[in-house]
Amino acid sequence: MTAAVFATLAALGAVVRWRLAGRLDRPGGWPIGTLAVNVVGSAALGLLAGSATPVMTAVGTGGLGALTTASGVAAQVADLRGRRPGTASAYLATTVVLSVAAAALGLAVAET
Amino acid sequence: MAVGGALGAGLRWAAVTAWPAAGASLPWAVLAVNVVGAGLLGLVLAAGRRRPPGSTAAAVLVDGLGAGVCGGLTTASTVAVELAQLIGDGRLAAASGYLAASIVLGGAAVVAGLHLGSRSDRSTAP
Repeated sequence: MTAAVFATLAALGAVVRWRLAGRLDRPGGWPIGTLAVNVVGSAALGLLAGSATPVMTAVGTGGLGALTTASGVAAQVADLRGRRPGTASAYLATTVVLSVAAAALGLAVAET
Repeated sequence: MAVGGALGAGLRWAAVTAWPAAGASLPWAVLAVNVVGAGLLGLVLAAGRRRPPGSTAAAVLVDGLGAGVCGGLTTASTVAVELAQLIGDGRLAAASGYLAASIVLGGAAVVAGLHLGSRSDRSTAP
């Protein structure tokens, strides 16, 4: 049961990321769509802290894990680095700072 | 693409389950899948760029294997939550090390993948 829900949510998360990235990521510029899913996904995963294991597995590891991406960020930074080094650094720093802040916010809300 | 996403996430789940982060230790499984996924993404993106834009082969490589499998295999939200927890616990050195390792190793893996992918494609191209 968990496996089926896990696969469904993971597929859904990946498709949402793909659609948003395709629509909002600017070629040669800021990957706004990828940034948005990573920040929102981090906040949501923080909110889930303390949930029951099946929920954490299906929604957290499956849905939110697939919604967010680290390899996509690495590839985008590598791509931008050659042409716009400033944008590459700023994008990487923004992703890290906003995602960790969003996760901390989610964790704080979950604890209250 | 959806199937690829589910497949990648399933592989990550298997890795995290097989190699759980024990209490005080760092989440090595997540770091490992992120670095491996970044390397694979570099390879498939380089291979995809050698195919005609809009072709089925390019779509399968870039969207299915790249955004799907590699995107689903790797995750940023888990890293963000783990970093926030490490910082919240006052383990700043561990947080900095984990973040630096993720960025440096992930970046090196994707660059190596892109390099290898474009090189092997050139050698096999007619």
